[in-house]
Amino acid sequence: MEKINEELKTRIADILSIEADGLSMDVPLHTLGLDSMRMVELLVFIETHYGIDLMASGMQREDIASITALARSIERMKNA
Amino acid sequence: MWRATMRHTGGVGNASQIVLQLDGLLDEEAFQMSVQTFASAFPILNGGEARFGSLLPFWRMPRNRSVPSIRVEVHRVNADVVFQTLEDLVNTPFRSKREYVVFHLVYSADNECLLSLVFDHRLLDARGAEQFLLLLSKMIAGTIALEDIDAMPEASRPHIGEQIREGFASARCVGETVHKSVIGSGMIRLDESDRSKKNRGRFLLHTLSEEETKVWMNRVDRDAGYLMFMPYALAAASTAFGKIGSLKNRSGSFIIPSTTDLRPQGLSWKNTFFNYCSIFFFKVDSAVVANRAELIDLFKSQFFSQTKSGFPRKFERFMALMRFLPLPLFEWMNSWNHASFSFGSVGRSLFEGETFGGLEIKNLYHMPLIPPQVGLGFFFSQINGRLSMGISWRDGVLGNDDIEAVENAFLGF
Repeated sequence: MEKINEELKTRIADILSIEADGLSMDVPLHTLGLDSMRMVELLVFIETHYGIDLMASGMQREDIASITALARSIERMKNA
Repeated sequence: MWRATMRHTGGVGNASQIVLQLDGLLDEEAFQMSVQTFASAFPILNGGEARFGSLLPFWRMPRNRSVPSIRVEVHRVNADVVFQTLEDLVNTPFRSKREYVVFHLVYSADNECLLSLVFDHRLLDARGAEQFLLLLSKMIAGTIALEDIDAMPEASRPHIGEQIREGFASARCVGETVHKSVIGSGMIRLDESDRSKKNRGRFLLHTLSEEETKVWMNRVDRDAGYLMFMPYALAAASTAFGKIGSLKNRSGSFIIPSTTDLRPQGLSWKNTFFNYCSIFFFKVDSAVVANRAELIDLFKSQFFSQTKSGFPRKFERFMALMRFLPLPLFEWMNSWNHASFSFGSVGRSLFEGETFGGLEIKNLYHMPLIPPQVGLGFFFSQINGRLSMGISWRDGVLGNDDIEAVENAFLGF
């Protein structure tokens, strides 16, 4: 899961054009600056990189609301 | 570049207005002096569009060294005509081809005033206008020195040959998306029978309270998903559009161009001037509008597929090829009606938590004029936990019953 954490952190930093070091792992994604378009860019990355369609997964907000929660959900779905 | 042609067609659709509602009175004389000091930092204001022949528009910086100035108008009106005044201001043409921004102070009560910035879209888009206003605010507050303002864009644009290559490389994606979304769509649009007579923008602005905004956003979370405001709001706008009396029994498609800001996150003064917007193109069959869940899913699905294909950025690169079109051809292309309605959102305002001139900001409104060919647009912004919805329409295309139906349908979605 550590690897997924790092990959998500790097990708989100890239989407937001900011340094990855400054990103907090456990705060809501919208507080990091993600909006609808950037959230969808992240979902596109997750689908192409992990083969997981989060949009259709029916996940609740708490499952995807922070980088850590998102990583946990991705790992769970990969192992399912 | 298409913005450059709109000015020639009369102004409506090429200017917008931001309004700050301030809790207190700005000192008129002090504000005038601040604006003139501020203007001196931006020689770009004395520039203008230029072309090589009828092709390749670019921004020519001023050759002379005259200090730029910005007009400030003061209006003292009764409270019951404040909104009418704001409508009049955004519909008033600029005084010259080289005037791109105007400030208006509107005083109507003892304890508050409105500050309006009307801006030409050749120089600023909505987010850029907020940045411009925020820069002024920070200068007035003393938190940024005039000599430290560096708002000129980076001079690192690709060579023109590379622009052409990128444009052609993007053409297939653009063609496929536009073909799916627009061509042969049986597009439903507003009645244009009065098109030639009225070229004035009308507005309805509705700000939800913090509590109402929370309720609305909870519905977004529940029915569309986390951070899915845009597809949800598009679904709400489509439902509202379908309530317009003249459109109720029509079958066909709604075609909705939706602007998106491509600026990197984070504030950079270098991103203040010119346009950073691109477009999504959404298409919805009018029959789907009756099914709320399916409608939301349709927008989410198109949003996802266009983002995955990289459409907004490719569209931006493709549009660089439009610079090579002869101007008369480009103006002809712009004259056809290519949308049922338009949609835009600037998201959280840059003025969140800010003051202006030491005064609390009670509200911030965006009032964009929409191109006459489209006829109707929805626009959103948020500040301090409150969502503002704006509807703009070309005078004459909607009656009072329609406006009420559209507003109620959207708010109740």
